[in-house]
Amino acid sequence: MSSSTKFLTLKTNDKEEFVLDEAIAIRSQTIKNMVEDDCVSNVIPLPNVDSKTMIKVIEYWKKHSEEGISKDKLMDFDKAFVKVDQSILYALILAANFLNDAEMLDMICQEVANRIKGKTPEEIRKEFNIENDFTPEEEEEIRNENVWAFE
Amino acid sequence: MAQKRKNDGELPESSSCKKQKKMKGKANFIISAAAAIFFPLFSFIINNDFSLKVGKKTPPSIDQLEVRNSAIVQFPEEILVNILTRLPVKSLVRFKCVSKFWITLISDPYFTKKHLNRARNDQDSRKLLIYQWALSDEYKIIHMHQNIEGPYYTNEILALKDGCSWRSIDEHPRAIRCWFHASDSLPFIHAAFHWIQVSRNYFVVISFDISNEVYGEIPVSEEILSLKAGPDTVGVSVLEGMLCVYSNLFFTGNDTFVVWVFTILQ
Repeated sequence: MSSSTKFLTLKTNDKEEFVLDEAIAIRSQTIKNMVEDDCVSNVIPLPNVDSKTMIKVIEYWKKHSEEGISKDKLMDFDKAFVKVDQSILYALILAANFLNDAEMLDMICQEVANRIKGKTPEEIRKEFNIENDFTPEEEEEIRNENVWAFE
Repeated sequence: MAQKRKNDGELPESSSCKKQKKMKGKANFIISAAAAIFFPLFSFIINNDFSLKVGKKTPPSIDQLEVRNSAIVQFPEEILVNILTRLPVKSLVRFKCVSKFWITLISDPYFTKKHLNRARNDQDSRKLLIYQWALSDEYKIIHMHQNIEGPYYTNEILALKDGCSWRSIDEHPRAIRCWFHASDSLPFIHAAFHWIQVSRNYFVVISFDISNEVYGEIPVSEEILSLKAGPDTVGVSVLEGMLCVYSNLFFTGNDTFVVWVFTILQ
């Protein structure tokens, strides 16, 4: 590393601090904008990310910043990376969204899509804690219009 | 919004009638092409300006990320759209009955466009695009037959907002044979689909305005007319926003590939 390597300190909402090479941290567009606008003081607060999630995010950033890493290796890494509990996955989505890392966000959204595509509407409501605000008649009507999708 | 779509024939019929058509036309190539009848989507297809909209990402504001319930994560709409646009149509249609918000979101033309845009970039799902239009009732599907030989079938159109039955559309007055290439989609430009049609001993470029359901005819140069072309050697396509006719037959044996580009003055 050159002597000009700059480090940033990221502070999660549970008061943990992470010191990270700026070149890696600016994978986050949010952090990049802050750095470019020169509004970075010593510590960058990340009020929407907890430390447990941030550890995963940094793991991802570091792997994806490795020099000369092969595409296959990255794909294997990504595959393993998303094999986590639903709650961690959702926390990662919110973190990736806040940090504005489109690549990571897209990858996780794809994983969520893969997980939910075969589910029934009931399972979806449970998964996302959605209240069914249709009357039974309304729901029946939509189902009847789209019977093929329920086969 | 879309919850009151009471059509005579519903989607299941639409998919079964499609199956029927497929069997009927076994001997011929069938190309089903679909297009929105609304101009916003035209401009989306032509200028691809929609992708610009997607590409322009503003950083999310903090209150968007509010976690309303400490145990359960509520995604901002933007994230929900990101996830749902990755789903196959069948899942989406099924998820219409999750809640009123979901049906509104999934039936929204903006969502459909986004979903379509993602599917277009995914080679694997290109073949499923036809179902895409089932998501909204503002779209039309045209079903065309390539009549190289064998029995003649009329082209048909299904306008989802008129219900779900196919109706025959008039042929181009001088139509004898239509040439499509089996795997190609019909080039879509200037709000119309285009293909090559043989009329007596020469061929012409036919346009079909999906919105008004009218045919047009684009004259081609003598040079093109003089070709002894067949469906494998002449085609029509879109090149950098312009309609073009191409042929690999121009100098037989020389492996030449010729493209004529049309500028349409309106």
